[in-house]
Amino acid sequence: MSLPPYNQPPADIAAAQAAAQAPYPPAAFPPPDAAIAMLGLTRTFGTKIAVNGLTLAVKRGEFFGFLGPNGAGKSTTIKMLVGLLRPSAGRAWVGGVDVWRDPIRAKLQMGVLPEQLNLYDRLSGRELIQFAGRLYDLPRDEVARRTESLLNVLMLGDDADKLVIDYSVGMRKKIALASALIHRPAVLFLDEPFEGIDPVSSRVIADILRDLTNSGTTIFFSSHILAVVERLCTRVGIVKQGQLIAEGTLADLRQRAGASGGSLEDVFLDLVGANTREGGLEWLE
Amino acid sequence: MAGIAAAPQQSQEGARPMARRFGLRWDHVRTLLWLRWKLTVRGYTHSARQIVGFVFTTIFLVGLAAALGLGTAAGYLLLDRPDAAQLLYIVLVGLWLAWAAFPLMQYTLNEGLDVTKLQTYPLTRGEQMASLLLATLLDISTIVILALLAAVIVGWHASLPAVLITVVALALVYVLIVTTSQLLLAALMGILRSRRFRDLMVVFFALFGVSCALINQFVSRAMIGFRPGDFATWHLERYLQWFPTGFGARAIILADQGNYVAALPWLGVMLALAVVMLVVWAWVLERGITTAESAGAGVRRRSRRGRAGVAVAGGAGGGAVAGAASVSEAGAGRGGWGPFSGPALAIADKDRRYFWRDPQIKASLVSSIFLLVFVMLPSIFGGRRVELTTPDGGLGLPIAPWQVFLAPLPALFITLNLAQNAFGLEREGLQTLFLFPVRPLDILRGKNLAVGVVAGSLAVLMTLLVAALGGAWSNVPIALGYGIAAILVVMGCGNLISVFIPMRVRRMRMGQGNFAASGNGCLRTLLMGFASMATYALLIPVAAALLLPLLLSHSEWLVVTLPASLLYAIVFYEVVTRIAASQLLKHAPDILKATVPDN
Repeated sequence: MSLPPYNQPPADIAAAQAAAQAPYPPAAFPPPDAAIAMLGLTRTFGTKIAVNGLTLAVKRGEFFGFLGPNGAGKSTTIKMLVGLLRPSAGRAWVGGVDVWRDPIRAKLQMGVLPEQLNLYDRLSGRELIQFAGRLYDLPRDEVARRTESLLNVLMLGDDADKLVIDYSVGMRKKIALASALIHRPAVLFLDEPFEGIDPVSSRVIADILRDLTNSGTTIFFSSHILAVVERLCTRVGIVKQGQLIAEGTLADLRQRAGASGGSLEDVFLDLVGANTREGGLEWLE
Repeated sequence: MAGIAAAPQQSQEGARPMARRFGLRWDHVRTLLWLRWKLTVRGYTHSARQIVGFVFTTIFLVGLAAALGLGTAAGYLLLDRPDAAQLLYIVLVGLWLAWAAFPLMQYTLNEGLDVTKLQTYPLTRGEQMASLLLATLLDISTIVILALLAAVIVGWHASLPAVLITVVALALVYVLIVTTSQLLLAALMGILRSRRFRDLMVVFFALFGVSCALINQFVSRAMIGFRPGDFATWHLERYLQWFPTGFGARAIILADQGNYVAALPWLGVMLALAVVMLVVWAWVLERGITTAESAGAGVRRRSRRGRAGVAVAGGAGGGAVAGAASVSEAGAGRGGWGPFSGPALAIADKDRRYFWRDPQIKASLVSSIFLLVFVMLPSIFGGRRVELTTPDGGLGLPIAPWQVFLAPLPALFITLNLAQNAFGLEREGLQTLFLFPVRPLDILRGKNLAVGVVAGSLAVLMTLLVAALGGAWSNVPIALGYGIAAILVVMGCGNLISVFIPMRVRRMRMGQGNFAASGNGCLRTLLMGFASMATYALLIPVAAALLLPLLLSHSEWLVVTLPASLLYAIVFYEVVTRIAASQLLKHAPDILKATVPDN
């Protein structure tokens, strides 16, 4: 199967992309059981390659953790997967639908909690969720019912009629999550969902997410809180400098990193090559 | 900052409490001034745009300062002494009032140093205050104060002791100006940061800007009969001498008259006032920083969480979501009305709320109406009085029947304002909008519906009002027909422009221009200008269909030209909107890049 990129990348990027190790042969791509798939996904900003030939498939019902150090290209990848940032090269599918060729069908299946919450902050929390429900073309009474249940579960009921601009960071995150859940998406993209969220809400959100995956929703989840990733995710991918350097279950990664029995944090640090002991900070001791 | 961090803490131990609070280590002050200098220079040279901005600001402020300085110096030298004294009071008290009021409107006159960021370092209040005061000398707006104070020395230098007293008085005036400005900012920080206050001020300033045209008329009328000699008769010193900087003016005037001893107590009063204000400022600042502003809210939120937690434990949990209906429900096409789908109506509903809740859009709407109703329309109607009574039973007011045709103009103006950069006005929210699976045509129709309802309502209202005043009821259907046709043409053009030439709309801060665009670049601005001209050109057929029959005295032609005009507008709108919609998804990332910062 020939898969032409949307824009022809510069020669060096094309070479970098070609050099990327694709775990799937293009002919079999996207796999039929993949909820999310990307093939040679590349994004450049000027001469900087932010995402470099990423090829990956996430199966339906998986809770996929997408990890990497700051600047590794996680948010850029998610933006390309949800249709907010056009790839320099490569393709992306959500629910078997090409995100950039049939964006509306693809978006019907997804819910997104972006890293940067650019919400309609002059709507109240309740209005924002209802607005989202109406854009997914849900019946009005169903929108109202779901809105109230989401507000209650996410503990926003008391503040539902306040404008979003007056919300705290955590409340904004919760209201954005509620807007992403209103249509019961088949695929959920979450970029740092637990940042700025209190422990009680974190537990509630984690429970919601687990319920969703149990009922078949696929979650693509980016976070720096490795303990949460370890607790929730069924499979993990680690990116560094725009390239996928490891992918698999936690056990796979431990095996690969040679850190049998270690935590995800140990595996992660081992794979990305962190160094905390040789920084020349002896004077602190 | 290393210099501060590495400072030996032992140096302050054992010192008396006052010294610990207000003692000065000049190396600390020097380090803080170095910091301010670095921040200032980098603030102006961070990018090419800032350098250009700095150059233009400097040119403007230097020009303003020179004009004010030379003008007031000439006033001091040329006017009679009593008049010059009045001018001195006005200048010194005016400066004090301006510097106190402008920061409240977020015109950043004195940035000085942000001491809130310095609280973690071992700095005394004295060091903070001293460095903050000295740092204000690096603020570009200070050039205006310095020019006006220099003019005072030029105008009030009768003898050497008088010059000395004047210089000391002006130094104290400067301290009082800066201290009062900063004290007010610190004391009102809570109010100034509140969203409601900021929203209110945005609308206030938009209206204020528009009403300047009216104010200008009053001022120019008042200036016609003004003579410089009138100053003395105003006796402003009776009131202005009791302002903090009025004491300075009094000391300068006394010294100029040779009453040096009488001037000294006023300097003493100013010095005492300056010290008190510095101490109060330090106290208010420290209190503002160390009082946990969010503590109360935190307690409130915790209690809410507690209550909500019970609800979760009661079984709502995640099941409420997991039990929701399947995705297949989405996109089923519910809740539509006529040509408008459910999502289109949702977008229209959202925009309708935004027109009222977004202070920037509200300000634009209100000021457009204000400008047209109170400034433009009276100028059009003024002096063209045709008849006092009309055969249709008009109210006998000075409005001619044909002027009904001008009534939809405000609506057209508002449509231009809101439809030409529809996605730019969405600002950050646009990212959310593009995440939803909404057909592009629905997005455009929804946005047009919101604008159409507002503009259409205004067109109807204005047309009926003018018709009632002029008694020209028979012209109402014609005026409304052309109004609707023009609105449709403008909205069609707006859809195309919004997709192909999206412009970033910066969030307006008080003290900035209305809808000031930032980072749009010359080419984009130029293209927008051409697009606007093209819009006006495309309105020509609508205008011609109305004007030709009237000018050629063949009003019976209107039976043909009015429907033709409406047909042209509908077809044009449909064709252009569909073209724009077909390109919207393709251009969505580019529109986001152009309109949403840091996307």
